[in-house]
Amino acid sequence: MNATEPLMRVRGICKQFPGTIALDNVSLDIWPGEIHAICGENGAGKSTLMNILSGALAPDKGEIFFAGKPINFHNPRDAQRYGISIVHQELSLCPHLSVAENIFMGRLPRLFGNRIDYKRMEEETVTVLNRFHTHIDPRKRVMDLNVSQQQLIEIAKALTMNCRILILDEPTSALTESEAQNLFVILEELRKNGIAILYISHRLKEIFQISQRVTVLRDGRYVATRLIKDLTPDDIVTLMVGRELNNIYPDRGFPSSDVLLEVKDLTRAGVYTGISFRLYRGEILGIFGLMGAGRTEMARGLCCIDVVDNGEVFLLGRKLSLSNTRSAIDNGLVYVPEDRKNLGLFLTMSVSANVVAANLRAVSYLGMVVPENEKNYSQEMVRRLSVKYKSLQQPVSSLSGGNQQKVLLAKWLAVKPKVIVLDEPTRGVDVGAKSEIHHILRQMANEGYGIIVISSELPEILGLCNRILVMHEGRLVAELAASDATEEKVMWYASGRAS
Amino acid sequence: MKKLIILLVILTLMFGLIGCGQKTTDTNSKQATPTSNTASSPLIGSKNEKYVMVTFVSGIEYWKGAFKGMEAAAKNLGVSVQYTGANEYDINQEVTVLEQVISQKPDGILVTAINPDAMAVPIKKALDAGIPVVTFDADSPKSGRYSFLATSNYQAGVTAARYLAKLTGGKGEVALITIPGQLNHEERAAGFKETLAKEFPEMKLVSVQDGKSDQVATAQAMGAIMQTFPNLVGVFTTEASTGVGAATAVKEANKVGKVHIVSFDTDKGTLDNIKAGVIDATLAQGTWHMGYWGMMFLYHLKHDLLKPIDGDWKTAKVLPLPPVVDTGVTVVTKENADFYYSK
Amino acid sequence: MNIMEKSETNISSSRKIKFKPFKTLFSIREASLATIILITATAMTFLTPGFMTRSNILTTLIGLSMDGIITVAMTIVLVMGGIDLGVGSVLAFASVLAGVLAIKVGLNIWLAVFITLLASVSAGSLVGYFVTRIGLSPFITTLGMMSIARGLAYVLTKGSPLSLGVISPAFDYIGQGSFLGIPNLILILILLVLIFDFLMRRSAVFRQIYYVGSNEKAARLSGINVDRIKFGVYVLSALLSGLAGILTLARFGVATPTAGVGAELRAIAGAVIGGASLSGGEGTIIGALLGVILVALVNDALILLNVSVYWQSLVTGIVLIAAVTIDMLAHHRRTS
Repeated sequence: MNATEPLMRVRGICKQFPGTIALDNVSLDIWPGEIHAICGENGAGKSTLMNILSGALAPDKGEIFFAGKPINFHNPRDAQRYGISIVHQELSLCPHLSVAENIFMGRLPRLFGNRIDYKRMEEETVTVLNRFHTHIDPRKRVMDLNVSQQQLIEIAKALTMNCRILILDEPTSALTESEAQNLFVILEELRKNGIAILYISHRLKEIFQISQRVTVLRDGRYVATRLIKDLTPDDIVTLMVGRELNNIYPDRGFPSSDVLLEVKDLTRAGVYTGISFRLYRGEILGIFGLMGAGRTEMARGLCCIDVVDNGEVFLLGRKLSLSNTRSAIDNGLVYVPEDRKNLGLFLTMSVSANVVAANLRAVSYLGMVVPENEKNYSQEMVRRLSVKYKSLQQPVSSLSGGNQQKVLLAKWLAVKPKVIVLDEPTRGVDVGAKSEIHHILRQMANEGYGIIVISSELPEILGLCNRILVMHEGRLVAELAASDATEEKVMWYASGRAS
Repeated sequence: MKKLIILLVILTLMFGLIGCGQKTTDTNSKQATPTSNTASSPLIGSKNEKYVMVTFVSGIEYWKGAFKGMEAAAKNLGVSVQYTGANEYDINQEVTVLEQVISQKPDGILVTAINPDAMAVPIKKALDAGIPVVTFDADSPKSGRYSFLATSNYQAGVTAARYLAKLTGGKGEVALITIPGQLNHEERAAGFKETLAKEFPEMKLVSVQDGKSDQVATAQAMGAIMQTFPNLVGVFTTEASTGVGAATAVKEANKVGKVHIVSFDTDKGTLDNIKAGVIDATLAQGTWHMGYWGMMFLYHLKHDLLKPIDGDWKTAKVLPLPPVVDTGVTVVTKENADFYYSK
Repeated sequence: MNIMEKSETNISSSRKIKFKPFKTLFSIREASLATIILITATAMTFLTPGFMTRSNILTTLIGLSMDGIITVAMTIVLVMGGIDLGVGSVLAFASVLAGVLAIKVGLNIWLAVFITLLASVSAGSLVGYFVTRIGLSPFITTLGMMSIARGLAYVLTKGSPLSLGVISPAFDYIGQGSFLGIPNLILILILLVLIFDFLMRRSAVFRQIYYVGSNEKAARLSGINVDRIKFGVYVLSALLSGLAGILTLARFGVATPTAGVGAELRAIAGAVIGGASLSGGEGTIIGALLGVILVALVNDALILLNVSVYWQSLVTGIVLIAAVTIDMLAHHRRTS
């Protein structure tokens, strides 16, 4: 790095969302001609910070300097004008339009008046694509390209806007090994041309391959920035997780040796392979993994929501036919989705209607819902789960996130399941309700329900569960007892260190 | 006490007499109409009398002519008229509107029937309630209505056939675009078809299409006909919008002058097309007469002025009015088109 | 339920704040509609003498009875999150089919009715199949059915209306007679409204319609057989439309292929005025009926008050937008 001052300086950035502090006093320097990795667990604040840098969000507090001058981005366009471009994990291309039209989105070259200069557009597209040594037809529709090509288009788009800082968010999550290597070649070239690259990833192998420096965030706070050559991967892991567990978790309960659920060799091509494990009565089993590990997909396959290519599931010794959701529910295997708003709750309907949604039979007589029964039933359920509400008739959309989650839980409890798989049950839930939910889950485990919790929060997994399964890129890479597990160990496995 | 009672009785009688005398006085009359008494003409009515015209597809221009006639008669008679009807081409709507009008107890109803059988029931109801009913343009023969005024549709069809024959020299392929299922259109079509068959054997009717009362649908149908029969020389359209649609198609196919059009009724679109030379002629119905004489009939019925026989025609079961009146048809061409524009 | 019977946890005790929801039988939308109708009726009584007469009221109610049945069907479909543009056309088709079977084919009228109902069920099944199995959008599918059914009606009658004459006094009695002084058509409408309103509020199966309309994905995950519900609703909608068609035939004694044109839009308007939402999950039958009554009432008022016919077309639209806007504003205040 031969520049004398950083290209971009960020000082004291704070950002709050209702219920959470996303960033707390974060400062950072970005120099030209470097690949600068940004690391942190889910929820550490990486995406929020990148959104602020690229102009999509405004910070609550703090300053940003570009080439020494203080600046204020009002929208992504402003940032782009300064030369800051971001390529998100979910690509933001228009699939039905051509490559050239996407690259020049919003800045179509004009030919006197309002006519689009297609010729110039295509010529410039070809020029920029040549830098990547690739021959993609500028007139081809983006949806006809594969993911790695689409990603290339996004990067090309950034380059045509005089990019000086390129931010990439988990760029290799959708790429194959060789495609990723292609990307690295391109990034190295860009770096040599003086462009600064912010590379968000949790894949330590990559970070060590391509980057010069790494910044670690944790719980919204800035932890450290180091030169890669001064660190080992284990060091980074330590930086990412080092904290005290100050939440109070319920006790570990009474796990037994009765097998509730046995999963053998569950496989879905390209998504997860050979998942095998057992769930014992009385325990809470945790499944940890970083983004892209395949946990949700595996859980959905397990609970007969999505297709499974191979594998067997035994519930209380009986083999389940993995054919349809209703039969899984009727047999007592239930999946509580992560996206509660879109997949779990009926937002326009009342609290009581939501609670009885999966088990109308319990409150009906001869096919007719008995209002008295429905009222008593849902009242009892919400009382037991300590849901805060004004009226059973109020629409569930007016409850807070934590209470909505409890209503969702209540719905599933209503079917008297044997095994419940909960996907990120406390995401977006405030601390108080979180703790309540943990205690409820422990209670349920103690009473003989099989509880599997998928979580991205290390403290939660370690505090709540008796055993922890770790997944990495579709494989089960570790099975740890709570007593043996530490945050570092779990993260280590989850980052693919074992491979 | 006794004096008071006598005074009250006298006052009551006085008011009673005055009240009876006042029965037919109007309050806001434009004309100086005194109270009715048998010495002056019985054809002087009161503005408190209300006669209602009930139609279907009430918004179209066609009924305007009829209502104008009704208004003219009303003015001469010194009574009030109201115009209403079903918005759409819908039986349920017109029946409902008619029944709602009946509940207002008007003095007479002049109605055109969207469907002869469906409308028979409410018309009968009106008659049973003592309200005189006369139909026009589209009849409900079994309803017991006192009279029906219309242009003889059959004769109109005959006239159309003869005029079209004149235009085409009595030979060639011609088409017919009409509204199947509506009585009046069926009769026009019948008159046309039969006259062609009888009097002009060298003219061939090659296609009959449904205009659906819609310009666009007709234009499409006409276009299709001209494609299928490139030697077409003429078309008869039994309705105004149908004619305008056909005219558009002929213009777009560049066959003005080669394909002759004889249409029906005199709405602005049709008249404009006649002056432009696209439509050769149209048949004007005596719509004004339907309204004018219909109103006259109702007034006479209401005021019981009809005496076809000595004695009561009701008990004698004699018809008080001519049961069907033909209001005639005029051929409108470029020469007299200007007269037919409504002011 | 065995969870937490022995509350040995340290969960904070239930901190729920509960106040008594006002225990009205109807939701707010229905109550306000009923009030508006009463106010309008009262105003009309003073403005025109002809309004509050038995004949006028009965006429207006009979006039809306067919639209009312169709609106019941449309409400259920809307609650499910779907739409059925074919209701008016199926009405015409059924009316014509029954007429043709009775007159041209000479079947016994009741047999004709039965066959017609079967045909309506088939039409609904066809729509249901394409929506659930093939995955076409309900809008497109029912739009197609709209053309097909109407077309079939034209084909069967070759365009001309069919006159039944007096086929069967019993059949005519249903369409034109009264029972205890109330015309049968009104009684049938009331009966259907009561039955379906009850079912929508209380039947477990019909409750699932609300779940599907509110959040189809969540409904699927909750074990509800979404496809079966959708299929069933489209069949029901066609069945009710067919019934309306048969009653139309009974009433007028004439089968016209042009019956029911525009009925689908009137039904949607009535349902939405009554509280249904185009995105599904909301709506009641009673509300929809009130919506239909309100529009019919205003139309009646226009005629009795001798307002120009051109205004009548605007009425439905104005009432619709007014009702929905008022509800949206009230909703906004409540939740903010």
